Amino acid sequence: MSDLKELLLAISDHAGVYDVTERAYVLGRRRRTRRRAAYSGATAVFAVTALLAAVNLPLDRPAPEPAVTPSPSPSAVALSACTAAELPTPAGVRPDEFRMVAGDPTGRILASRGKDVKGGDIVAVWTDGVPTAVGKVSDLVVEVTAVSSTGAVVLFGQKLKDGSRGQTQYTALAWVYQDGKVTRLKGDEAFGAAVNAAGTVVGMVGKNPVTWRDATAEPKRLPVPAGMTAGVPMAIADDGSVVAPLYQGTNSRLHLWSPDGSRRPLTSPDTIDGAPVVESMVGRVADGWAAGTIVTQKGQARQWYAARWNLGTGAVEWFGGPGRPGPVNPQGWAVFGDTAALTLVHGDTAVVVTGLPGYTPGTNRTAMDRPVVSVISPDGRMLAGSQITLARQVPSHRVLRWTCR
Amino acid sequence: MADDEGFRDYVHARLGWLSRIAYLLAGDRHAAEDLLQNTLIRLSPRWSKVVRAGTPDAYVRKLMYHEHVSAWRRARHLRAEYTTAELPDGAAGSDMAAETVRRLLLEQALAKLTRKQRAVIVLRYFEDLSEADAADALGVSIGTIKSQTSHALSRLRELAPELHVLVREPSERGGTAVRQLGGNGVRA
Repeated sequence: MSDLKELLLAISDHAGVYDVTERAYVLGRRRRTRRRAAYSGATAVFAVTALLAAVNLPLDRPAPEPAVTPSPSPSAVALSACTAAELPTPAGVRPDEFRMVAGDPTGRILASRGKDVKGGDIVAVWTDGVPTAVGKVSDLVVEVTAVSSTGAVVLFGQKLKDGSRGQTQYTALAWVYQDGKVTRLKGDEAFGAAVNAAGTVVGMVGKNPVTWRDATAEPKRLPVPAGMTAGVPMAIADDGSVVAPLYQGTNSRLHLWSPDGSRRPLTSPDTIDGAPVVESMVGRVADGWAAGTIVTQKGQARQWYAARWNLGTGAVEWFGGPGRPGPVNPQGWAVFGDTAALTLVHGDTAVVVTGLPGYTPGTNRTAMDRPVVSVISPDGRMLAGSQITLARQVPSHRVLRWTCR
Repeated sequence: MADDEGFRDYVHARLGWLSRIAYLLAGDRHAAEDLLQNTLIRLSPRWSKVVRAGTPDAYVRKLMYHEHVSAWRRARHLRAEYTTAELPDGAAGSDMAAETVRRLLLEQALAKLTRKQRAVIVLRYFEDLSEADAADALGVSIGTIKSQTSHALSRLRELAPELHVLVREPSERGGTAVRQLGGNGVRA
């Protein structure tokens, strides 16, 4: 998910919808009346016809759909369908203002930022699909980035800096919510990327990769060799091992920082199908595997693969699917998405993941109302994510949980 | 009046798209709301003529991009004022941390482009318009679109080197349907 269009789309997801129609209409009519009075009907025609060259609106142009080719060979995991249901809304919370869903490695604990019925910002937590906590959070909180199996929820926020003319710049902020308590992580420009069962958070302070032993600890820098820069996403195992990318030149490779402080690269293939590997990204680390994504690029063509690295043997496996991989788990499950559909893939299994029942999302590439999966349980039988539904173009932001059978 | 209803229906149907473009151009919610409102204020009195002439999308786009560039001209000596009251809400892709940081890097880099460079990026990369259509929307020549795109991209590369891999020159309407077949592999 890293080309310019995808990022612009992600930025525009934050637009909201500005219903200024009535105001504009009234002000526009006033202007029209004034102008008519002044020019006695000689309103500038403005060469409307010349301007109205029929331009096909790109938003309505269906994008080419990559072929979906699930292998016909039998799979050890017999799943045939994933069906979505809305996560139950906690009492006193609006059902339509949730942003993103993050989950712990077991998939049992889910969390999302939302709003209460009074409009205050909250974080909601579900355990096994049942609401278990609602906590008030700062209105600077944008979304939940990670959840631990012990219920620690990492929050990401933004605060506007005093910009110079015409600039909008933000300071990143990070918090941990646990047991009703919100603790701000220390450091300027702090971003919490992942958290383990012990409550240790890995992330960035400015451009430096760091860990916070717990929510109140000072950030501790992870050593980065000269000439390389760390990046996100990052993952942290329950033993404290960290996996994160290091960039050198234009390419990134994953590295593993062991709890003893040593660091070694996780090897990706040099090429896949003749195309050089340019990026390796991590999603999660558990059970001796790091799971993530490999990107190849040949000329202008980029290909995305779900991948996992065995931390013990150094072996790496990868597989493609219809579209690009979103979440990938250490057990080898991945959800791929393209403009047409989401597909859960594992070995030879490929199961279509449908969105909210009874709702048909737009089919164009920039449709904002397609379902998003962000969590896969270890056995692939539970997914969680979100979907925007539109009624007269007014969006509702909903949280979903899929059951795959 | 039928015209009034038509205006409202059109705007309601297009509100999601218009809001996205306004936000990408303006960079924050208040400015985006103002931009959209000013665009619609200009559209409203011309609505009946616009709708009679054909599809209004291109016309609205033109109004909005012009408003975006000229609003800056009007306010260029004023310090931009932003408020912390409205902050972006998340609803992006699935790889949250990566997406979030990359998105922020791009937002910050976009904020440092000129208005016109920013408009070119949105027209060419978000709206997928051809150079000719982008030139029409901005009322400039194709050559200007080419040079502005090139300047905007090199500025983005300079401002956000971390985004290196994502900024590449657009091929003029490539549009080939790439078959994204998954290769499988194992390596020890």
